[in-house]
Amino acid sequence: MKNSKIGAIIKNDLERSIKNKWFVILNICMLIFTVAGLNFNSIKSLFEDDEVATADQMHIYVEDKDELAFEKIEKVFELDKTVTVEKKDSVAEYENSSIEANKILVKVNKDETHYINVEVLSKEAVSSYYIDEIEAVINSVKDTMIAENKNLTEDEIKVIKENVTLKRTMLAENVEENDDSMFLQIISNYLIFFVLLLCLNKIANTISQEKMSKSIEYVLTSITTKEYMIAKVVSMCLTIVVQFVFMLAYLIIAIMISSLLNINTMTLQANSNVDAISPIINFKSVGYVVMTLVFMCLTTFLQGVIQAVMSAKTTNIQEAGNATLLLVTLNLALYTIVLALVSPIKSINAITYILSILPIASMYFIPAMFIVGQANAVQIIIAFVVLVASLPISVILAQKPFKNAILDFTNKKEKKIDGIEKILSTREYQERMIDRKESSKKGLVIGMAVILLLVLQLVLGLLVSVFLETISNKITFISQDNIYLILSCIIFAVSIYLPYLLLKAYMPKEEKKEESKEEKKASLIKCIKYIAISIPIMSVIQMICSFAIEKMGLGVNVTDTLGLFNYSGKLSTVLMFIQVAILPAIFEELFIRKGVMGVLKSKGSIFAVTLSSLVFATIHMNTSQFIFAFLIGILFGIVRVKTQKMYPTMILHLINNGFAVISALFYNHTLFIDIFTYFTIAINAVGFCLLIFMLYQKVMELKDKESIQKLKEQLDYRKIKLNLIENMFVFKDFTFAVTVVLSVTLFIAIDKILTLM
Amino acid sequence: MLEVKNLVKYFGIKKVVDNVSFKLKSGKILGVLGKNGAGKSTTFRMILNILEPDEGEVLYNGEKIDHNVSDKIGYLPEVGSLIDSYTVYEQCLYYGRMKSMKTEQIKSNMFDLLERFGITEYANMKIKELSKGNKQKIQFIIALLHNPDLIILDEPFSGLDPVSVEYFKKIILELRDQGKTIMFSSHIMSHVEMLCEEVVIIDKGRVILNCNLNEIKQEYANKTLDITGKITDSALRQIAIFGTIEKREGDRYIVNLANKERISDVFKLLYTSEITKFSVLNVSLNDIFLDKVGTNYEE
Repeated sequence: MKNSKIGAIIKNDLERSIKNKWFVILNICMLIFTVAGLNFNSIKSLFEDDEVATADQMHIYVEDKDELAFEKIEKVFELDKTVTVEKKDSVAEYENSSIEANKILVKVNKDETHYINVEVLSKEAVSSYYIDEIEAVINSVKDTMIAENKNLTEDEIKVIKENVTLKRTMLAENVEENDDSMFLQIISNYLIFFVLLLCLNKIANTISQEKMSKSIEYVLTSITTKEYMIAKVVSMCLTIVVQFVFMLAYLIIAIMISSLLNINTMTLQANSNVDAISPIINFKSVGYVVMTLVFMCLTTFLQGVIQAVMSAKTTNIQEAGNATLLLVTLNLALYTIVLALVSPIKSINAITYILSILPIASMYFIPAMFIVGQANAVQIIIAFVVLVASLPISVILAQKPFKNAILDFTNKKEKKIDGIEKILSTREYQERMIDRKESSKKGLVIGMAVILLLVLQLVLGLLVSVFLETISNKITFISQDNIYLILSCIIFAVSIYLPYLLLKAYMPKEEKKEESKEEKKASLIKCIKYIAISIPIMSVIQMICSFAIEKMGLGVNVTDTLGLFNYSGKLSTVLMFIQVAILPAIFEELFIRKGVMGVLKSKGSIFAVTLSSLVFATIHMNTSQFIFAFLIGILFGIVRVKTQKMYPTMILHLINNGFAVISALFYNHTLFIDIFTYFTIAINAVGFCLLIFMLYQKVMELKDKESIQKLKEQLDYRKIKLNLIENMFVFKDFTFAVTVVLSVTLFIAIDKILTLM
Repeated sequence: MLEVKNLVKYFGIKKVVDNVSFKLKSGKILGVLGKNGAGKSTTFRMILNILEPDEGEVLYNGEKIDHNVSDKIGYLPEVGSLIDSYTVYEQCLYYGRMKSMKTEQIKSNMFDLLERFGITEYANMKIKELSKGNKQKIQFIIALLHNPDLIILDEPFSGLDPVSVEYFKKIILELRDQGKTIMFSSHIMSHVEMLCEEVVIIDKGRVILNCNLNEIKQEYANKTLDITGKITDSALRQIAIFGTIEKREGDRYIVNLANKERISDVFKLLYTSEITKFSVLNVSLNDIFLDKVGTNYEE
């Protein structure tokens, strides 16, 4: 009774997948391709005949002063009435004016070293038929000339010209029909992929369709999930069998048509076809085919079960399509491994042996090893037994996840904690769960932006270095160095601005506040204050870092590696200044302080400042700058949070980078450097005084008890800890993990390159 | 007879069905009433063996329900279980075969039912072309297709217009008259009230009321009297001994008796008064619910 129900599902599915317009369309295509493929020559000749009938007369003019090749060329085209060959004293008259389309000029000369020298001229590309014939003639003429010159016979020359043939002998077994077996292997592997793709796709589609429509709920009242799963897989396998039968039918039709077409004209060729097929039909090939079919059927079933479980987990039809990709990728990988590991000249090792008996892998390994004569009977039997045994095991294992997935109910046994239901139903808990997802999404966005930035920088940089030569050849009024600088500027701007746009899409929208004049004035003063006090802090950080880096042995001078000293000329100085000082000040600030910090704003300012500084440090891409950039990033982050404006950090960034560039660019103008140094010292001193003054103010404020209480509230340890735990979900994202790996590898690579320089 | 014994089901750590048990005699209609998410559908799924209960069991005529017994059960799932790309006939064919029916039988039964619903023209239409109400009708037809003894309908009236609801009710009553056992769920009290003899009310996975509707109504109804007219003071005083009196608008009195056998006594006491109306009140299910649970069902 139950079996009849499984039968009912199979019957239903088979009917539906065959009485389906896509099945019909696919099969019409297959029929056409099979017939066309097998009758390719007839079809081609059909077209070619027409062409020849309408083709114009072709004239070949030969200038051959030494009487070397003309006669032979004439002889070659003797039978072809569409070609006339004429001898001319000189073809030079045609060379300067244009030639008609149906004329070929051939100029044959004697040559001391190469014996013979030929030029062929035509208006446009002519059929390779003429050229091939002429080339053959010239070659034979050359052979004769060599023969005369060196006193050799033409046969001896043929031997000299022949390619070396390698005669290989396999000690294990003779592999003479290598070509045929290769052909078989390629065809069978195409077939396997086709069958698998079709089968997996169909399983995925029907299961997810029945799940989506909830029809499954009705079906499962009459049948168990296990039976349902088996029925689905079997019905799809049967669909494939039906498809196979159809394909065989097409093949027969195609062969019949081809024999009908060729029955009068090319009986000879038909015979040769039979000759070509006959060597394939020997013991080994038959064995191969049988083995492939058996393993394919079993493995398809096994993979069908896996696919069924995966597609049961899908929640829409699109996902069902994607679910097949995993298995298809696995199959491709296995096929590639087989190509790499199994060949007649390699002996099998333990890994190959183990792989070959594993289910799924055995479908590719066993037939391939069999045909190169490396598989022994024991191995084949073991692989077969393992595969057969894996079928019921897979069904049993798949049953439970399949059931849970298809009914969309979790049966996960979680730890029972008293009162957990109460916690679950609180709003705080649910909000926190949503927050975690949001955090993880922020991780995705930031990670994606950084990946985009790094990839853009690398790829565009590579493109520029490849095309620099061509571009500078076209633009002559600017030197190559300057073009390179301009392009680098553009790359820098583009590769930061695009990721910034991505971040911008995820930034919470800020409402623009209309500020009164007084407010504007107050905020301006605040900004100036913060700029002023940041300058001495920046200097201190710089000093500490350069000291620490030197001690750590990471002494790579960045300005050195940038090659700042190599540039001379006004334009390049300006460009250099733009690239190193102005562009980073604008774009890096936009990306980090506005973009990254904007995205992270809701996560609290401490977290936003820290993470944005980490990203800031990362995009500098080397260890010596990393620490410095991180500390500076924190400083800038604080300034940004306190002032709520973009320009203070931009100015600070400009000062920081500009300082380095100017001192490097003008290192030999002693007077200028002197003035510059005094100037910086003065600024630092002013900033330092202001800093001391503000700190003093702050300390005075703290004497007030209320403000101490406020500060304590702000620094509530438990709250910060909880926030930190929640914020850690930013790092839980896959994209973020990739970003970290990418950054670390780039770091190491770039550090290595820098030290080598 | 369907017997549900102490069913328990967890989803993760959440107890969705908590010790549900009830009985349903053959030829009766059972209404399962409960709010959204109360555990009705899950209970049905366990009865139909789609889900395995964590504890407890379900017996139908003394047998455990497995996939052979299920051929005698008709089911209308709560969520649409029709496949969009199928035609009505193909859908019936697929599900009919699942119930071990022969093609000819499926065809004739399907047309009989389609005629009964007056939608014969839909036989070759695709499911996706149908309206929500018509889909529900097709689902109902599929549930009845194999002429089952036990019919389980999960929210059969959702998405139906009032006319169709009446029609469904009529058909359900006809089925009962044919001797079928019917169980259906609803979150609307009036649906249950008008159709069922037996009622199970489920809330948060627990059965909070399981009774025969007629019996319980009688029990409640016979205690409440609605009297209109000028009642003499002495009569009022004497009636007050049997129960409480509420005076309503005009000359209307609602009398709640402690014991239903006192009705005739009250009637006798009123012979001197000018009575225009004397009736025993019909109690709604909501009143019973209120009395048993302490809160209104529909808030």
